[in-house]
Amino acid sequence: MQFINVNVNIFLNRIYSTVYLTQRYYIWKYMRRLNLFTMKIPFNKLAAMLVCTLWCMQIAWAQTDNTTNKVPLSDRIANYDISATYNPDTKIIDGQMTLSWKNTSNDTLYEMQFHTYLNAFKNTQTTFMKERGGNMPWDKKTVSDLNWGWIDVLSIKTKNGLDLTDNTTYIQPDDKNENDQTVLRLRMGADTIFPGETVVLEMTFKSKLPKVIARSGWADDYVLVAQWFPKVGVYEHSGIRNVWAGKWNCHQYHSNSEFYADYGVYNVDITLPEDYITGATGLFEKERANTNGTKTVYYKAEDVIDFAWTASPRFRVIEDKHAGILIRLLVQPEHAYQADRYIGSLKIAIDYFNKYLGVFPYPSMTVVDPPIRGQASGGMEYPMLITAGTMWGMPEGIKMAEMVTIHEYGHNYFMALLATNEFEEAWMDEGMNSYYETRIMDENYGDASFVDFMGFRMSDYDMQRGGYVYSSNPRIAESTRNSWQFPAGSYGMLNYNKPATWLNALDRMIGRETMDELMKTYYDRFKFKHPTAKDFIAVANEVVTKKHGDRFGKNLDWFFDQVLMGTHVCDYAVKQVYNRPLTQPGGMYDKKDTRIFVSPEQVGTKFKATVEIQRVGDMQMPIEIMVIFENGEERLEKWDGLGTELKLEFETETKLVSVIIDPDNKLTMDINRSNNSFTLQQDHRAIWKYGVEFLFWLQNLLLVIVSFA
Amino acid sequence: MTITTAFTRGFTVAAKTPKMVLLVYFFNFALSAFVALAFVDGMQNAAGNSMILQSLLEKFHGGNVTDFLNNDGSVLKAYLSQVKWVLLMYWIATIFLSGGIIKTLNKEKFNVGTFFGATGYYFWRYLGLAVLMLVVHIIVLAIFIIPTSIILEAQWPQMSSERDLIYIIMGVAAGYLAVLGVIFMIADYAKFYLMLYDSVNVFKAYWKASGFVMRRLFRVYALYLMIMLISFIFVYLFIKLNEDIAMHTTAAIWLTFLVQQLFVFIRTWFRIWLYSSELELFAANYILDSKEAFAKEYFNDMEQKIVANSIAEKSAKTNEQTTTAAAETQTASKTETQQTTTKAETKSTAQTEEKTVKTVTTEHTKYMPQVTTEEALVEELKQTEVKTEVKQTEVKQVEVKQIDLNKTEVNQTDVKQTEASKTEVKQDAVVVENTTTTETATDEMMQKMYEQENSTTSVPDVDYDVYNDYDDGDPRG
Repeated sequence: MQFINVNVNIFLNRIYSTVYLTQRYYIWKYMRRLNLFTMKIPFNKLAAMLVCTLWCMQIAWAQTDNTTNKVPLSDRIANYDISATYNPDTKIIDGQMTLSWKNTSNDTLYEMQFHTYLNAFKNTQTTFMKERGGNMPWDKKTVSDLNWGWIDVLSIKTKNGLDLTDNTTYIQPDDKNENDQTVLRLRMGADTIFPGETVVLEMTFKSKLPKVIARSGWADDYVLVAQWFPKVGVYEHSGIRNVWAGKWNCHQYHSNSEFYADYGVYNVDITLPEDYITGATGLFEKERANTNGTKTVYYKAEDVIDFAWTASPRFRVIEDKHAGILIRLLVQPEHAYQADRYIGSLKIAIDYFNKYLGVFPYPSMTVVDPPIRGQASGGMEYPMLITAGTMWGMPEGIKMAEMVTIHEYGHNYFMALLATNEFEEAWMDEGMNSYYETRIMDENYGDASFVDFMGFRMSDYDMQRGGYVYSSNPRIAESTRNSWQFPAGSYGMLNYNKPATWLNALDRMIGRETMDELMKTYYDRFKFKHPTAKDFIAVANEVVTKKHGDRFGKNLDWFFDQVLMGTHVCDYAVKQVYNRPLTQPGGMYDKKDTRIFVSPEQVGTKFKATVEIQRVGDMQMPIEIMVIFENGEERLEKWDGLGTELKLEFETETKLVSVIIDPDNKLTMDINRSNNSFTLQQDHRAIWKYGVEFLFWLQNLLLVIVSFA
Repeated sequence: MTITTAFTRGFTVAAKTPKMVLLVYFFNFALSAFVALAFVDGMQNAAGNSMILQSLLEKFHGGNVTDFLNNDGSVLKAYLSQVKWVLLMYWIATIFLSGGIIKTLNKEKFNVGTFFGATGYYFWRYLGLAVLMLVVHIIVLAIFIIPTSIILEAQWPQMSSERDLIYIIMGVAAGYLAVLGVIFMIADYAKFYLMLYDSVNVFKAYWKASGFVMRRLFRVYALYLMIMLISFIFVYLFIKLNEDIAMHTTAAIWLTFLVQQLFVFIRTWFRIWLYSSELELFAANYILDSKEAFAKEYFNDMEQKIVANSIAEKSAKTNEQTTTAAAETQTASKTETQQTTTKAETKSTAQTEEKTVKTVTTEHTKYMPQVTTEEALVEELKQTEVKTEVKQTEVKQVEVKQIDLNKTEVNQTDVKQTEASKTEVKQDAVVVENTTTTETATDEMMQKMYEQENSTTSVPDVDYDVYNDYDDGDPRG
């Protein structure tokens, strides 16, 4: 019954689409003929407005009626109906696609640009491969033509039958590498796209999946199919993302880059061998068995920026439901015993984001556990579908599966819902998401949330911070570069570790409550949009000023200028601590006509304690200084951190014994915490403790050597 | 000798040498402390006045440690790099100490002079043996790794999961560890060979030890695994105990230090125990092999056994007669008791080859461990000047006298003479008397003894294929 209903719906939808698009076509032709937009006659303007209003209502009605979400959550610019057939022998997908793309700008467009990402794996001369050193990413012994990936756009026709297939050329907007075919330009010819117009393109394509590499491809009978269809770029018109003049934002596929796309609705059906178990972005709608040993599965996803799917006959499916979200875990049989680790951590993440950022708006979440040879597809995020990863025998104390699951789920906020441009501002999804990862991990798994194994303990926060402060050159570049322009080896540090660290610093500086409000405001304001760093900073300034006035200055620009736009390094140090008996002024003094000698004797039992603090780094941050006296008294001093040196003096009855800069570890950006404290009463017990341990393990190591003697 | 005997004897002998264990432990402690103290010193200097490491007193904090190491860790790396040199030094030191350890275990008495005398005396040959063992180990490692790599490379594309891969690697690792145990054991037994035979030929020693181990692999390995198993249980219990000691205070740090050092001491002792048990097994079996081989070639030796058995039977009969005579003549109950004792001991000597009697010690065999009665008997056949202890000699005297009584008449005087002969006698006298007895043995007796030889369990557990190894001869000879 359900099958019949769905088919009837599809049939009706198809009829409606045809009628609707035909109607729109004639409306536009009429408008163009009358040139209504340029008429000076008020009546005509009124008529034009009326026609436009009707047209908009048509669109709105059409969109809502055709989808599950009666009120679209996004602007649904790029909508796809894809019919794909996967051949597991050739690793080729034959696809037919109907793209419905809406020009939301005021610009008339004469071309469109598409990502043809799979061509990044076509040969060693693509930009992607060259940025990886130009070497083959697979084992040379086993490499064959099956390893390489590519996509051919076979035909493009407009809805009215205009064949645009020959109007395509590959372009290289980033590096002019002629061997790179990851951006396809389509000249619209006579069928220009007017403001507000929706263009409908019928396309056929053939996608050859690579042997798994960079989040996509096949490994034996497992496939993770991502960036697999011609995906339209984002036309950024004036007013969004700091763009002054409209242009296509369609970058090539780079080694470090991720993606950027508009929201839309995806109706996808996939035909593949009947024994394959599938998972995909969106909701599973139905499955139809075919007569040739294949089946066709139907998925629908609304208000998403991408569509990825996976299939394998080896998947074991574990389903659960939490907070109204259908959880589907597609796990390898040998990893099934770790299902609780995946699902448990996913539930933690769902609850956390629901509470602190916003309720997850999608109906389902699929977690994919790749096989060992498909690990290169692990740890990746797609809307409503994430890939995690673990290994058989992974100790409980190493929470890799949990961390990856939480991180990738977080990307459904920082990427899928806050659809930042990952090509140009990668820190906005990776950094913010890593910040939440540290929060969720540490608050739920304790202070050894990342590793608690064989005596070694490390929190997720320490892991993220370590990636920044222990890097060979923390000031190597600012985080605001395009993803392909970072110095070698610094992409991860500058987009994951450093932003996560300074977001933690911001959190501890302005307080958790303010931080949560900041992030929530940012989310509410920009969900289903394409926010930029400036948007985030504006929200931060607004919220912090509202909550704290000018406590942190007029705004927080000084903070972001240093941690985000700049390459400043934070390092404060205690230079000296010393106590001297407090003495009265001594020496020779002239008093009237006589010169008297005053002995510089100690005043009672008082001491003059002095603390000298230095700013070693060039980053200026407000800091707190705790001074501890011999009698246990503690005082907390504050410094704006602007100068290069601070001298604190105390007249006390007891000696000052210890000084600690940033006692509450708010200054997460400080690259050297060893010099943040100074004591005159050193307690070496901790060192002896580990000395004893070191001795013991060395002795045991020697006893092992005995057997070889 | 059974493995349980070797196990318990080894335990007893090892327990008698606490001073030696302490000495060996001290070497371990001194070398380790040399680096550990430098480590502590380096940490203190690097930390300076910083309080960053103080938080580690409560618990390990990866962030603070890595912060510290990132900024001040270069000095420590230098200290830690010393570890490899300490390992090398300890490897050499262990080789050096081995001679003294084995010699002490053989003598069952620790003497500093003797200990270090032996360390120097056997150092070079043990060093050669250790190098040889390393070469063998590398070859074995290659034998495991190369085929495994080839198989894995070929099989990997067909494997559906890393679990299969891990299983294979674990299986190979288990096999490797099993073989590694054999390598270690061979090295131990080769050391015993080098010492007991005072040989300098490490290749021959390794070859002989290999033969010894392979011929009785189950027993040798069982002994090894028994002690290893106890070691692992001990280690496990210690780890559990160690987890419960929170090193948050000075007292707790000291307590942990003491417990850990006790652990190391006991682990050192376990190693000595292993040596001791292996030495017991080796001495009892390998030398016995040699004796049996000797006896096989020289049939006379077999005859001696037959005679010995016949003596036992005759002795038993004589004892009965003696007892009767004693009763009839109403001799003192003292004599009767002695006869009974003599009977029992004689029977034991004849039928229970495994039963341990007193050590046969000569000036030249001071490294020899205890041997069985049969060994002693065979030994007696070869030696011309062997001092047996009073009790055993007493028994043999009784045997000889009683056989003589077969020819003549039993009289109480002989018994009294036996009682009176509780002094040491020369081995040559025994030989002479035994030869005399052999000459008087009948074919029937011979046949009976052959049957007994072939059927009885009194013959110790001997691998007869070892006979071709007899050329080692008696290390005492």
